Amino acid sequence: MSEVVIEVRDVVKRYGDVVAVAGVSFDVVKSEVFGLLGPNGAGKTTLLNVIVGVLRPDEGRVTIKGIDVVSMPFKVKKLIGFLPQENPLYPWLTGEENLVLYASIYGIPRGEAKRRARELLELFGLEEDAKKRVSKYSGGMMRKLSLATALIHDPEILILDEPTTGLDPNMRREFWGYVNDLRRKGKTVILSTHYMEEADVLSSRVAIMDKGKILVLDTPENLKKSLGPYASINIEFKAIDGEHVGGLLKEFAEGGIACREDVCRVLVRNPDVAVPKITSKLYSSGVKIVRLSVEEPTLEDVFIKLTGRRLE
Amino acid sequence: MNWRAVYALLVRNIKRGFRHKDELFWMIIFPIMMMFLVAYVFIPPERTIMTIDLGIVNYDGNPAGFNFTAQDFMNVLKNVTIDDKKLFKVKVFNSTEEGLRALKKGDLDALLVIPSGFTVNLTYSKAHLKVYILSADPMTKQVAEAELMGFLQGFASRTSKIKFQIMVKYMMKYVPEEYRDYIDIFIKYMEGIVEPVNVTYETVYPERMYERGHIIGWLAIGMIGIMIMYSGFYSGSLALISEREGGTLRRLFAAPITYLEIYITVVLDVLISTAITAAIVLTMSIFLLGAKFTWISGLDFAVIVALYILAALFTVSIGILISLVSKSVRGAAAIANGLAFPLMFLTGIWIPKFMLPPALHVIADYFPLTKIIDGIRDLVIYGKSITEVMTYLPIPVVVTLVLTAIGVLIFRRSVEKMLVG
Repeated sequence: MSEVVIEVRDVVKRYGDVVAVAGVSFDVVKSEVFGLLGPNGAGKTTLLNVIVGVLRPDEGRVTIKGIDVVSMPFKVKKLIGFLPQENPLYPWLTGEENLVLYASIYGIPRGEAKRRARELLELFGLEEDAKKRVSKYSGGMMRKLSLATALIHDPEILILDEPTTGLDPNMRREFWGYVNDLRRKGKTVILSTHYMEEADVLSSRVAIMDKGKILVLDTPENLKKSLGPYASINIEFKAIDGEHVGGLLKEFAEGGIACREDVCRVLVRNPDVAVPKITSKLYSSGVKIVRLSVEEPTLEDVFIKLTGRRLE
Repeated sequence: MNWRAVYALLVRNIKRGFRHKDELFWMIIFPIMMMFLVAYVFIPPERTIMTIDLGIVNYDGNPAGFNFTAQDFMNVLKNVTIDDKKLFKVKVFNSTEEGLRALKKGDLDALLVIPSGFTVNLTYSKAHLKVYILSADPMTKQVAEAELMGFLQGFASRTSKIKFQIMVKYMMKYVPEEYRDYIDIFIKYMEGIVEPVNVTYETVYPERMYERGHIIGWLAIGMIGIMIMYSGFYSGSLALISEREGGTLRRLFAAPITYLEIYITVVLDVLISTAITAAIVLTMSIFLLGAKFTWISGLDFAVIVALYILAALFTVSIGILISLVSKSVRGAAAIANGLAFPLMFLTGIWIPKFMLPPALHVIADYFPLTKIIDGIRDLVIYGKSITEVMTYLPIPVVVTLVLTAIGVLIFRRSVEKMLVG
């Protein structure tokens, strides 16, 4: 039985009348990458803020290695490395200075802080830019340095909030490589994302969140299997009203449908039968198809089936 | 208390100060510029005498047979000097109309008309002069009027003394011996008519404030006070807002750090950045501008340091109050500046209180920072004792401590609100 590192129990967080997190519970075990997948506004960031001790829950409790986050925040914060959505960097400082600053905040002596900073800069391929001010860094370099600031005190647990938002696909894949390396080194990771591919590739288990609640929680494979014998038809069309096209395709959507502007995703049991019917219907309705593809079900399809909406 | 974190954040802030040109300007260039301006524009190193462009019309000419004529009077005007600088630059005109035309055109500051019979009247009776002063700008008019009046009064007084001495000489020669006792009484009485009051003027400066060096010293302390005000208002109001806008606030508070450590960093930042400014201002004031200070004891120095910390606490607290009414860095900076700028002139810290209209004295009288800076000045400029300084400090100290307590509470509340938002 794996050791439970993070225990989240019935956590509720409200902002006035708005319930951002509505009674969430789950466990994260050692050396696992736990994915929190959901659209913007699902409550992922608020939940992570509660886990790292930045916000106090209105109800419920979070423990990290058995330590209560609210009653002993400092002990918990030393165990966690946190990468927020924003780059937590000071642009007038150099890459190395930013790392030494964060190391000092965690109480690491200056000499040791400099040694760790050099190690991390080398790990992320930033050693040549160590003495450059961060204001001169590219977006990808800043994100790597931000991750390095989360690792500077060598934490057992990493909380990554939307770590690859705004990065180009190559940089995103490079980032995934770093996360996989960290898992191999035995770090426990909670990763929030609204990219279903990211959650699929990196997570050992995924919790799909919407409107402050966890809708389902399982391994990516099990979640996809839970869809049953469905296939996903992705239809891109000349920009007209997506909702209107959704209405036309509703009769074919046996597993669910979600549309947005110029693209619809339809879950069907038998794509060989459904595709000709869909093209014929759209043609006769004057909708010009730009691209149509039949795909294996993804985590996004799970989300569509559960909510009737797309993730991004 | 995580002092390592406080130190690291302080180093971060100091590096920002030195790596941002605008911050460097306010920390170093602005105070230097202001000190040079006041030292050389408003308190020039030498007494300045304004030379008056004086037109003269002489209708009396240079009559023969007199010891002192209208022409001699003109020559005196041409040659009179103060500190080797000529008081009047004389230009002669043939008629009053011609002189007045030049005056109206602005070629002259004043016109003096010597009427016909001036020499005779000056010798035997009462002479007359007519003076026209140009009223173009009040400053020049005032100076021209004062300089001419001063000269003419001096001339009149000297003439009466000479005339009196001549009269006494003749009386002693022609009045019979038996009337001499009466004559002595008469002469003494006449002396009183010629010079009814003999006034001796002596300028008395406040203790220790008797020369330019002390005035520069007074202003140097004022400039340091102003820099504490600006720095405290800015740092207090921007501390959290800039972390939030920069995206570092959540990351900081996910680390083992408290709002109190951030607050202490803000106060220390104000103290250190203004200490750098103070060191520059004092060095420059002493070695380049000739500022003079009183030597102080170790205890005085300790009191000054305490007052300096109080000043930082007070201004940071005001800055935190400013942060309540603004949600952005730009807004908070604008409010901080909008508040500090008028206070720079109205608090008596930089512009002496006596120069302010009486209605505005109330700000200088009750603004705690003014009293704190006055305390420092009293010790290092006026050489007062700590006991004397302590008489007016209790109220500013209490106000500052209450404001600091309120500021810390608001700071904590702001952290909680910003992390939620």
